[in-house]
Amino acid sequence: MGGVLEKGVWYKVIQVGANSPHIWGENDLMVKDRKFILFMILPTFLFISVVTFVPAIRSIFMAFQDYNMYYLTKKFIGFKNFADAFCDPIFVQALKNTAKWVLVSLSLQFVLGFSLALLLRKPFKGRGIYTALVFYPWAVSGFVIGLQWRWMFHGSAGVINDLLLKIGIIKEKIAFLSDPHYALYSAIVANIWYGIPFFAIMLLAALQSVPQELYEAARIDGANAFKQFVRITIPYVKPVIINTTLIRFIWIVNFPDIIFSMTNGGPAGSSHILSTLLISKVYNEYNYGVASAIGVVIMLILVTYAYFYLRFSKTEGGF
Amino acid sequence: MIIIPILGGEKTRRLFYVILVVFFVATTFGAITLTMVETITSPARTELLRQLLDEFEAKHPGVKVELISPPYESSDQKLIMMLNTKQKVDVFEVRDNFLAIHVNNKNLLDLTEYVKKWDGWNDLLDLTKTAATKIQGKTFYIPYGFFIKALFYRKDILEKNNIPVPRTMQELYEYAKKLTVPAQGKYGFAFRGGPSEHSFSEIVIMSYVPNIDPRPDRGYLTTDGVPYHDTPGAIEGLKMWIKLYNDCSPKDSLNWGWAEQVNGFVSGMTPFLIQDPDTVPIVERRLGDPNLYGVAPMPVGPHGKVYLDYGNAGWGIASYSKYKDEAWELVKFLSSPEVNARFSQLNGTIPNCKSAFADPYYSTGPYLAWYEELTNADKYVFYERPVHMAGFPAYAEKHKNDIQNIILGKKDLNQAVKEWAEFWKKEYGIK
Repeated sequence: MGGVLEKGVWYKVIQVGANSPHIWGENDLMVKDRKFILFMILPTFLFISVVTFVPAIRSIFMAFQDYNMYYLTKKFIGFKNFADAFCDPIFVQALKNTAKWVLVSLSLQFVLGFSLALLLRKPFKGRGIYTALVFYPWAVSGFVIGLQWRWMFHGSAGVINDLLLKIGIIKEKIAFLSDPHYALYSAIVANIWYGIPFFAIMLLAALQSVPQELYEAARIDGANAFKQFVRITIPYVKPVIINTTLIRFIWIVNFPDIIFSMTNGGPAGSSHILSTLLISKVYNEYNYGVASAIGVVIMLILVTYAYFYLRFSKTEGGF
Repeated sequence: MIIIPILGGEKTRRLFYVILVVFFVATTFGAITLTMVETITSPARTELLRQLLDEFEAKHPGVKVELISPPYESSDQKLIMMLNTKQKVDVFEVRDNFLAIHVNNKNLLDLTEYVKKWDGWNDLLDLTKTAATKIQGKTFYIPYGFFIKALFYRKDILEKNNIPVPRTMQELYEYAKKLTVPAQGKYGFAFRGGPSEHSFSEIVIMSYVPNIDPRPDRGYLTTDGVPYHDTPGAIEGLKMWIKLYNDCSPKDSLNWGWAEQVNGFVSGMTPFLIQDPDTVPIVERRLGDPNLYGVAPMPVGPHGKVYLDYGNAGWGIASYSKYKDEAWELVKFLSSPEVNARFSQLNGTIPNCKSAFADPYYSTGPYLAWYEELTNADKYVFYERPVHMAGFPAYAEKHKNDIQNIILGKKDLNQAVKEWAEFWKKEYGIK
């Protein structure tokens, strides 16, 4: 088959006329083909619209409606739901908690996940089994993880209290999940444990694609391990780092499972994040209006974050 | 449809009549399918319900019942959504705290006329009748049973420590305190601080109030017509509830739910437990020996009485059901004494009718405590929480957070009781 290499792209050459070789490019897609492609995309587009966009738009409407299951008036009430949410001290607390929840969880998940990926990169005996074990938490539902950690952190019968007592770090048992000083951080510990494998999997794959010759060349030039890490490893896996932290940030904000099953936002609402507070408004107070208002706030935070993050990472040469 | 055959020829007209007759025969003699939704779902209960429905089908040829059992965690939301979007539902489980929602949204059929022609009505407990007719005096559902709190105690631990079964709240506190040795991980009381804590704290708090109004539409009010919350008795009761936490309960019980409470009781860490009858089968199975525990009627307050809420659930019919008469047959069947007794035994609820108490299952053993509660009206006063009022869920959430904050030293007790009273004054429109 004939072809031509132009600007690094291989184009297929087809004979159109006797003397004019034609380079087959994107612009040659006929209008009929474009329509066909659009038609083929349509089912996916419709499906995503129905399951994602329609509920999202509907929930934005609900945020401005009096949508309480006790008296379903569905009247439009302006910004009252937002005002109700903002005036609730637990909402303010939840906003601060969301920041702590995301930043602490994300940074430690990343650091530990990356370290783990670096360790797993070098071959050693039983690496396969060990890798499978490391990835195990990622395969379990967040809700189940929360239940497991809830019993581990149990203030009277939990294994964590027992261990800390035996090591001698604490003198009396701590009510981790019933003490506002510890409740949120206990959930964060569980969340870190849960999220490490994600970074380990993604970064390990990225690390394995770094050409070994670069390290060899660097060694010959006298670069030490730290320099190799900063100058070769980091730049190579940077796009993966940017993508994974962006995705993970959004997931963690929208990840109520662990807190919901460990503390249910308690005690006295001290461990609520926005997404668990939203669930509590629906399940405990049946107030879909205020819950939707909180949902809209979450959406605004995430859209703003994604916008700035992508802009920043583009100027830095990511992607 | 009618115009076409008139305009058409003889053949068309004949065809139309044939279709009409076939349609008529099919709808009259064809099988009717009733759709029933349960919400307090568990695999064992679904299995029993299916058995009962099979028996119903056998007795009513031509009627089939399709049972929908959504997972428990989201079943109520699912049912409410189904009803509000008018999906096919004929019979559904009505929980007392959702009764008002169903009535307000006009999704429940008024059964008053059906009930008038039903013999079973007279056999129902007075409590069942009160619950069934509490909204506008109309019968919107037939309760199948009750969840009423009683005091569970560990016989073995009390005997070992030479402690009798408490009969008053003061005794409960004293005995629980005696059993508490935090250094050994031993406590007296399985405190409930987590979800639905109000249905536990209220019992202790209200038992110190002399004059709670027991009428169903006056929930949380005293006979003086004001919310009980900031009356002197209630403040004393609240202090007692907090003492039960501080002096007799594990620290982490501040956020305990049902599972932790039961676990504390079964493991022997907290030998006194306030719970519903549906906890009996679980406690018995996990202890493995029915002699290790007992159930006593709820201890009374300083005025010699205690106010008990009668949480309940029952069967109702969707207002828009196409098969109302058949649905009523099903509700009648499920509410008949024999079926109700079988269902109650598995469900752990107190049965809804007098004749069920003739069964030795209910007249002996742990259920005797509830029988005593049901038959001593002076000591055990039944009242109903204002769960039908729009503010209730928000109040329950606030109550939980406030009590936790009081215990954590972040909220003033007097301020909290004032806020609760104000809340209900606003709900009732009392100035």
